[in-house]
Amino acid sequence: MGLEIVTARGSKPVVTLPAQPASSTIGDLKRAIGSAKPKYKDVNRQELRMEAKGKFVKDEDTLESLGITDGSTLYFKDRGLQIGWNTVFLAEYMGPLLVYLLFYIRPWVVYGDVASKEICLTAHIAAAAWVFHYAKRVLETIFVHRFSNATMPISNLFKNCSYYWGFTAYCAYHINHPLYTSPADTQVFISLGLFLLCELGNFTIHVLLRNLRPAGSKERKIPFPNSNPLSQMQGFVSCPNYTYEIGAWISFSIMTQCLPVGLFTLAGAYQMILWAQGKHKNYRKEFKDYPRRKAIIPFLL
Amino acid sequence: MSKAYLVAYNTVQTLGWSYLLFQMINHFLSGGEVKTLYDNTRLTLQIFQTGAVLEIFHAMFGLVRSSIQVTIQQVFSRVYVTWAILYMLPSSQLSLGFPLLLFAWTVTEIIRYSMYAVSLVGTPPYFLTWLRYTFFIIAYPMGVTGELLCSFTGMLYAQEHDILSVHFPNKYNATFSFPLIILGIMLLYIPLFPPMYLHMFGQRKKTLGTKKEE
Repeated sequence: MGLEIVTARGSKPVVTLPAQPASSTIGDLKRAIGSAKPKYKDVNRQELRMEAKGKFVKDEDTLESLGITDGSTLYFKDRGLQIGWNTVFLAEYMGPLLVYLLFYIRPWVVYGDVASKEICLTAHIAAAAWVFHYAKRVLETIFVHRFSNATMPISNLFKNCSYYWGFTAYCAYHINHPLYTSPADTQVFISLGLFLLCELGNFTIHVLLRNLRPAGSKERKIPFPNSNPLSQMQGFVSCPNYTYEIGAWISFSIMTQCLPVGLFTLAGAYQMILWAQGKHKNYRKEFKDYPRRKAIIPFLL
Repeated sequence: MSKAYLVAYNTVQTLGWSYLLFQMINHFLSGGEVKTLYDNTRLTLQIFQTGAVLEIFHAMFGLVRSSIQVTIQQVFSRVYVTWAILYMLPSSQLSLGFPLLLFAWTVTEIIRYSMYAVSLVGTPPYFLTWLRYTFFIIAYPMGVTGELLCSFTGMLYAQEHDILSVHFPNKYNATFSFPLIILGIMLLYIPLFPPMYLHMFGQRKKTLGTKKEE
């Protein structure tokens, strides 16, 4: 009889696999589908479901545990051309590094002949802070983060890069403009301090999350504060990394007193709030004993 | 109750756009020139085009089955041309683009609104359906050409007279360039118009294709 693999939309046949041992996994099934249909050789592209419109089944689950027997039907969704998370993150973060510096050197095609005009201290500090933020992200992507999913659809690459590169150009154009006016020194230095504190906080949480998960695994555990005082934020919210990230950008906005940066901060905050709420909901669903916390803003949201 | 309201709304719009078309034809038949067309028609255009904003609420409250997002996009693009371009940038009012877009918009809307009104109380006559899925073939390119011509003329005016724009230096280190926004929107027509046009051809085949077989 075998296993029927049909499309989730329209139930069109994809392939019929010969009967599989009960102890084999969904991952094995995907590899078998990939051998039979070369288009789906990249198993990351395959999504299998028990119901046509249901949630996807995990690669690690065995056929036995899911009740899949000879004659069962499984539903298939093509996730499209996939690209590795590492690749996407590096592409989207290199942009902000390079694009910002391109404006920092004040090219004449953008600003005209302004070689004689002095660059104020705040613009130098802002450039350093911006580069620091994205260099940190690149290093974290390479050395710190452990991702749950290996890949994402390739369309995300264009969407994400447009967002990061576009907003970088928008902010950098204004901060490096010869007629940019800096706010008072006190404002600059206090917000710089807060920015650095939030960057450190964000890094603390990234390390905390990394240590929560053993190398090579996709395990999920409830995160708790550790000995680092900045990790106390984890006791109040599900996604303190986002909390600190928003804090860093608010600080950067105040440091530069630049409306475009404020708009960039708002856009990022909006996205992160949505992500945090999703993550928070998942934690609460997955762990019956999940502590009372908010998603992203302590006591509020 | 809501049905009566929708019939009334669509009827009023049909009459409004018909009157606008009448004004336009009358203007030219009495020897009027392109550059005075706007003066004679602007009030009618503003009233009935701005009235279309109600359709966003119709979609939001579930009064009609249209998608909120699509309705917002459609209404926004019309309201943008009517107020941000024609109203704000006087030189666009004199453009050849104006009669082009006015003709395309009026005939399209007369067909669309009368179709909705009739569909609420019965089955639309085949002729109306045929018009709905055929007139667009010339109306879309005509309307787009008109809108782009007016936008371009308006953009030059905005540039020259510094309309709605903010420059350095200022307290919050911000800038706003209205001409650049207009240019950006004009460029958006390139990726957005062809799929829309092709979609209508697809709808035409689907709707009129079956009727022919009957």
